[in-house]
Amino acid sequence: VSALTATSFQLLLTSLDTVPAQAAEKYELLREKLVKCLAWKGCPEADADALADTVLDRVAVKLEKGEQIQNLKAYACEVMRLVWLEHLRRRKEDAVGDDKIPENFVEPEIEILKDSDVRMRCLRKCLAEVVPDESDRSLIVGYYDTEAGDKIKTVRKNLAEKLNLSANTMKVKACRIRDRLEKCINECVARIAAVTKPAVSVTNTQGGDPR
Amino acid sequence: MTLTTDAQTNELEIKRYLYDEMTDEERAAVEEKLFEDDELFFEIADTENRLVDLYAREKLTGEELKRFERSLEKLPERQAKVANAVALQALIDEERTTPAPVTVVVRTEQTFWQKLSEFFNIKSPAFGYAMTALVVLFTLSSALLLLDNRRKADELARLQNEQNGNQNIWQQREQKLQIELANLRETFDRENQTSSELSEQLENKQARIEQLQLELERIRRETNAAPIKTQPPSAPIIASFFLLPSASGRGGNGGADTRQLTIERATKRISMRLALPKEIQSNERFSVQLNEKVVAQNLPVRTSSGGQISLQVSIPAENFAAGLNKLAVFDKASKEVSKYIFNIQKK
Repeated sequence: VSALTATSFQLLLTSLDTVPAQAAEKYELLREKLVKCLAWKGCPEADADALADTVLDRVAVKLEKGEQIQNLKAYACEVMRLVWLEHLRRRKEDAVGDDKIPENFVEPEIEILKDSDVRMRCLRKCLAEVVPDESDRSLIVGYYDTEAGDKIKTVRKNLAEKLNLSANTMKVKACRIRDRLEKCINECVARIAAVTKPAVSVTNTQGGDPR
Repeated sequence: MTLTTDAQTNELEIKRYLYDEMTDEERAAVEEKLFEDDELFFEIADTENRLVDLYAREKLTGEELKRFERSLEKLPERQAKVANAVALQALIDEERTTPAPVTVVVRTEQTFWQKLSEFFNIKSPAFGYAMTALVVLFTLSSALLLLDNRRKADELARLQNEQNGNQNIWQQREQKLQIELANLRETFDRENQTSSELSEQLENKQARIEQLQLELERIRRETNAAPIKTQPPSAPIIASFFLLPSASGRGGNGGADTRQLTIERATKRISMRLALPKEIQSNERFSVQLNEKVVAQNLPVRTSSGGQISLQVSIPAENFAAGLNKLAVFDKASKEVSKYIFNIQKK
């Protein structure tokens, strides 16, 4: 596969829209769809980002070669499936020959990753960073308040009116803010785990069998 | 795939897609459609968020819960989403502003005139005349009082006019103070934020120091280097254990199935994750006793994404007896909910 060049990337953008600002917006949405779609296939977040870029690069290179693509979105979807299958095959090949790691009843490092205190601290930090705007914060808090139960539609309708947004715009905005927020939280938790993980695995040996 | 304009049918199909219950052909059809249709894409993303939030709040039940949990096994990414949703829902609970309920009391009391009318509805004419005379007297006194009040009110108005000049000065001063207060609050918030960032950095550094110290200990052991006896470690060494409750009637007497926990002599603290029985409510708080002595109180329950409920407690190593130890968890009513019997061996 040829590498992505400035020309091929420009061609991809132009194929999405002739107006540069709109092309950039459509590119971001296409990438967003690729990442989500891969995650819904079971792809981990870290791999999904890289695979989405591989898909876009391949589409761009195809365009540079002068091949006609009738429906760019459908084509990207098709390439995504191929890239995912290749990734699965590679993962399977890598796994062959690996020594099985003995399973423990408790894996302390995993426990730390799931630690609600750490995640809560990361959430607060990320809210300040990713959602500095007060109205966006009200949107997240109001939109995802599942305690409303059956009245959720009414609650969301009132929230949309309060924020002067249409129901659909509010949904898109809430989804995007949440994605950014979750990405930030996952990175923050991973950073903390990276610092504490070696210490935990060493200390655990002191206790012997955790069962 | 049968995604239609019917919202209910769509939701069923979207759930099948999200739960990974579709055939390859059906899945491919949905993918093609969501790449074309932005609205459908966000509808699917929104449905996933809703399901994850409901699961985090333990509001999914029956078949829906089973389907969701099956999907968790297949999709690792969703497990992180659940952990994030638990945190988000907790934050929403904190931030939810529930206005204080307003109680409207409707009084069915009679008016003054109704009461007066009823009061005079007495059969004795003499009593009635006496009462009427009293009311007339009362009315006259009230009129005099009103006149006096009016005079005093005029006097008060005059004095207030005199004070108005002073009041303007006070208002200006008050505005100035409010601005100063707002500035101080802003500075405080800024410093508070910096402080929390610094605390986090400090925690990370401390964790790193502990890690390096342990690594150093390990290298010393491996290379059989002479231990430095004069320099005790400056940071505490922590041992971590996960304990399951001891079954009542067995394991409580140091028998064969009692846990053996081996710690190094240098261990300063022992951190324990105590698994709790499944029937425990996640919003309860507990106290922990070690060998009949209270070592922690008002501890919140931790719930892992797998539903395991536990308590986290960190106890100085010196509090543990060499040999048999008993940890017990008590609820608010001082009822023992679980116990953990184990042997501590220091090497």
